[in-house]
Amino acid sequence: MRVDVHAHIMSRDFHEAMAKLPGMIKRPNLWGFELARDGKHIASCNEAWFDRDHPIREMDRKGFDMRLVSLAPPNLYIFPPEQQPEVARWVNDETIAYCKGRIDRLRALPSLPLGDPAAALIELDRIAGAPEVAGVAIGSNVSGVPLSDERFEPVWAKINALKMPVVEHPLHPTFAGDIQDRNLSVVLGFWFDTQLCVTRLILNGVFERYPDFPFIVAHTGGGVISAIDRLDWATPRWAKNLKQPASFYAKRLYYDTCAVYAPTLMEAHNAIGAGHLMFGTDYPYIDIDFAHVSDLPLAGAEKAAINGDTAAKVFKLA
Amino acid sequence: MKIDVHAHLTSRTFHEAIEALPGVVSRPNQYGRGLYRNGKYVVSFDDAWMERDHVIRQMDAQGVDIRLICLAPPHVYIFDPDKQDGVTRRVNDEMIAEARLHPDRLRVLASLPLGDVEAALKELGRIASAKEVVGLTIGSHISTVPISDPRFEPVWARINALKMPVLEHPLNPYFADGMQDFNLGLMIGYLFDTQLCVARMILNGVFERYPDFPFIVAHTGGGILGVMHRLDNSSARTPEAKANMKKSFATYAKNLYYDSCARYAPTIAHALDFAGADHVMYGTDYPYVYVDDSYLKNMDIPASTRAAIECGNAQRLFKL
Repeated sequence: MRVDVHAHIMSRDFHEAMAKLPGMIKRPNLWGFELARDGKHIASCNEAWFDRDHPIREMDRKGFDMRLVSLAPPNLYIFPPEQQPEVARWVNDETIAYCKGRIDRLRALPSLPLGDPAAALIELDRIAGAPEVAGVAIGSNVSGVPLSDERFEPVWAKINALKMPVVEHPLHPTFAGDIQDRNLSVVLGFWFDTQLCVTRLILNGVFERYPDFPFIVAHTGGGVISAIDRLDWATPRWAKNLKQPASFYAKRLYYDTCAVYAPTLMEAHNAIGAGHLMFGTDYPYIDIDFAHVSDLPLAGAEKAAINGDTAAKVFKLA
Repeated sequence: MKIDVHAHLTSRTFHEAIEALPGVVSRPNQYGRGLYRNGKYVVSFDDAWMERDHVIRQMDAQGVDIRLICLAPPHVYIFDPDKQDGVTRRVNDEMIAEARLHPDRLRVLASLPLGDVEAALKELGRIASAKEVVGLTIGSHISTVPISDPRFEPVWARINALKMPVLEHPLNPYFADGMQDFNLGLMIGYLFDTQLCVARMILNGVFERYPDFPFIVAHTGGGILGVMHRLDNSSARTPEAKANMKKSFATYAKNLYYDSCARYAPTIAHALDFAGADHVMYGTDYPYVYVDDSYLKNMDIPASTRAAIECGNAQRLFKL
């Protein structure tokens, strides 16, 4: 089975709700249009992406069997905490409805209203049993609060008890305002925010306390892998409570292939093995197919694992 | 023969000057002592590192034949622009004097008082011909100003004319305020600051305009190699970047050099794969890090590649 684990669903209602937030402006950009606030990029979109058959047509053209769809940045956390539960309900319902009747092709990764952790637990309960739901999507920070913050402890406990796969996705870092030149907050800032998020989850012991749920890191780790020795160096100095070196936890995570670049994918392969890599496209922002995996100097079975066999097992898709 | 291109000489006078800055306090930390300003991490050191010959003793223990020494973060940029000139002259002279004591073992990557561009050009003129000086070290930002800022254009022009090698070194990023937990500013903020610095140098066309000097990126690129597809893609779409660059982002990145300080075999292999055996150089990050070379020793690479990493590339670049 060929599975794309990193893809976004574009909801017109969600974009319109964001556009109504105070201070939000809509303007043309390289993708089509963007929402921006206080001079900062918030979200990019294109009218064509709202066409509901767009992702399926694209999958057919490229030979994908299955795609996991989630909200794109800024996720729900752009809304005030008190609005997030309601937005989560209707946008998750929309995503689930979208997958309904074609769960052989599409599965949902709903979002949680983490601005209100108690509401996030309720939403998690509400969506967890749906056959369309393969896991949850979580942003790299919740309005600036790290995912390792203790307020989220009950959420990790519940996710762990459910053994629910979590797909991490970067958001603008807290210092995004300083790196707007050349779109660097999206190009580099997103990736660093993934690295920061995963590093904090590891060093704060979240994966040590809750070892039973699969965690998939976007963009092949966004730098986590090449910092592994440095983190192991840090563990006994600044994270003494951790039972294992940081690399032990980093190597248990899964990483998508969205770095796209062959030398980077081979670095990941050398570090964590084919069994921890999962094919992803970053649809609709990036127009790629299987070539970035097919062209790697790897055995057929390893490519099959990366292209979907591992995802089929981890997300229970078959 | 082994050459270490990434190492720091711990200067007592430099640390005392930092300690005398307003708001700076010294307290014990994981390395020995740390200096903190207004509660934020500035630099760590151990008094043993300042002992005479510590650097040479460690080289002997690590099997390093020649070491290029440079100033460590926070570099001279922590001082007010009008003070940097004097501090820089003093630390450069101190490094040169140290190298003079061990002419067959030590060379210097000198610093520039970039807070004052005129003074930086003057200092460059002063030290460029010293035979102990084989290049420069430059921080990833100058008190928050990117090193690709137009104000530094005359400096790059001069460096380019001299074909002087530059070792980039990360600093605590200005956004590290929010990353004091686990010393994350140092642990991963540094790496990101290198990425940001190199990306801006390329996107703003500095290497397009000044292609003749070698630029060595610390910590094996700090992760920038992993973002290459995205940087290539996005720079091809960003009109301001396109205007500054005749070639693809990756083409400029492949012309740069990368030290081995990621100290992780898959990452070293990544750099070799990306930039080639003639663009990766051995580094230790002395005295902050003391690890053996097993990451490198155990790599399955041709002897010629190993020799290029450990010594050949540095010999060629720094004319050793």
